[in-house]
Amino acid sequence: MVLDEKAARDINRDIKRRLKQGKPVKVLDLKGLDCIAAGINIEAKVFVEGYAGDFFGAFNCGGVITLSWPKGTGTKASNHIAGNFVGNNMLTGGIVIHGDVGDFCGHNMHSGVIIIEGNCNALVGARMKGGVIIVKGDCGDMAGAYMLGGDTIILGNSGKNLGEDIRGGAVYIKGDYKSLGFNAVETDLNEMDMEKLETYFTHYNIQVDVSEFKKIVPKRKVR
Amino acid sequence: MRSLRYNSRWNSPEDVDTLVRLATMGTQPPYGLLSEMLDDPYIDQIIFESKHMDYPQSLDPITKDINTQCIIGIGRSRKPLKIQIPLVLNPLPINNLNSAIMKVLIKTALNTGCAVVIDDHPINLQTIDKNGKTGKLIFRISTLRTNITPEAIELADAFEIDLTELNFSTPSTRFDTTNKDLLKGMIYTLREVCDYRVPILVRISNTKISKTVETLLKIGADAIVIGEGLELKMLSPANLIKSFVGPTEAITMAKRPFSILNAIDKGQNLLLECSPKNGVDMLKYLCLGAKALYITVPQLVALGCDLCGGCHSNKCNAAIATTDSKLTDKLDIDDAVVKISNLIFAYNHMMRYTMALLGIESVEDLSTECLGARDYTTAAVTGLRLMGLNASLPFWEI
Repeated sequence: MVLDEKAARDINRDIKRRLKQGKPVKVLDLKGLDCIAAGINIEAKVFVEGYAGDFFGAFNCGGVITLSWPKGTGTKASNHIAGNFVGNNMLTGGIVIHGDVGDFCGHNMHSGVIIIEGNCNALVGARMKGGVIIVKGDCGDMAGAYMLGGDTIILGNSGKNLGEDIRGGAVYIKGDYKSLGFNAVETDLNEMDMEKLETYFTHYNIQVDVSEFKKIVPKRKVR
Repeated sequence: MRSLRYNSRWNSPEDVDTLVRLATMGTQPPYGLLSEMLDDPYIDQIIFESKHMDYPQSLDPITKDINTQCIIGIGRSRKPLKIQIPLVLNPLPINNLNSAIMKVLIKTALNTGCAVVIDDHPINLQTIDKNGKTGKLIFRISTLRTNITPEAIELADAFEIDLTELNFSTPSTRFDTTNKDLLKGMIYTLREVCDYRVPILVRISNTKISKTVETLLKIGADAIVIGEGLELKMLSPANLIKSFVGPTEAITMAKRPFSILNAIDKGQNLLLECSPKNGVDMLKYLCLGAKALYITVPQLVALGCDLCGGCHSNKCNAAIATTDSKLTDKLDIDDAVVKISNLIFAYNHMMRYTMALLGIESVEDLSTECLGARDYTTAAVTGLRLMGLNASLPFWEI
């Protein structure tokens, strides 16, 4: 956690200023600062190059934020491009991460879309209430824990306790998982689910076979 | 110690009688009931020092404009939280508190100029008259409801991060406030969300206060709210009274130079959750270092709550802790708003009346020097001067 409040505030202030002027925003050479692109409340596109710390794109409300490695970067030992709590409390908009992310991706999000091109650590979509998270790689333990709504779509494998204490929403997983969590149960996809997934994959240009997915839902819904 | 007495400079004896009657309401329900129910051994034994009754001269509360406004978040926020009467209406954190009561609290706050803690439930937002808004709205971010919508961001006068979670009613606590680094990030992102406009409060439990306050000082919250420790108790008003240890403990800390007094000196605002019986109690809390008071139980008593402790049964006769439509239909919202407004105005009148007698024009001038302890126990617990000895007890001399 490297929260240099002054530096982060300067970057965020510049981003918001340029977005208000209607100009495109591109942040270059970001080096692990926390809380970057937090609290964007304008419908606009933001491109960030480098690697981010925690709370990347938190409280996003309308912005479409893309985080990627700089062009020409060679092979790295670790593909971790963002820290924990990517898209925390996101309200609307979208976040696209071209790399791996830390824990708690999409924690408590209410709406919008998060697409992770790489892998995720533990607790993807914890306490999420709406929106969609698409993980193209593998997930750690307890993916979709304490979910209250929304969809978590995992194209790779998952760790232990998938859907731990899930209360609402659904987790769709293509690969395998080690174990299911408390209150989680696996069901087959129905036509509506397949249609929904196909819509997502068509929209975001992802080529997978929908019929291979498994659906994890709560045994009993609380709300 | 002199008792409150008639000041010849006031307009007429009737004015004084009116003020005293408004302030005490000893014989009229529900305020008589309130003073019987809310009993704290320590706060009752704290009195105002007599030398401050002698000089400077007492003021006239009718003609003199006594400033009771408290301001929170100066320096860090573009729009600090200004509360006319230093009271914050705090809804009882029980699940079956109905929406009508929330409407009552919001309307009362807007009428009286104090603040209210709400979440951004659509019913709450519909109740707010955006044009005629005078009271202040503090949006609570807790596990129970954390939808921070753009509308809430526009309307909010402050945000409160609640760290006193009620684990049994929700799947888990928020993960993004579990340690100080994450909390620091949360506070920063909230500031970014509201564009550094409103202050951010952090509400903590009454346990391990000194450590927590030191941590929060470093993190940079605008104000600290010390709760009554409800998460440790059963959530009924009767047990709230029994759990009065929380604010008392906070009071005791107020005099200790290494903890909260340190925080106050550094400009950290301290808000106490407590249950004052009347304006004098309220003034004592303010003298002890609180910037404003969160009240939970008194407004419910004003609505007819008899502290039976049966909130969980969903059969509240006062139509407060119930969602049964047969019971909630009995509640007259306008009448309830008048009742709580009367209580708040009575608090305010008595506070201003006492401040006038003490010769204090502004709440910012209040300090522990105005107070004394009437018995040894209170002096030992609070560190105030013991009356007769006219000094703090030896172990408080640092």
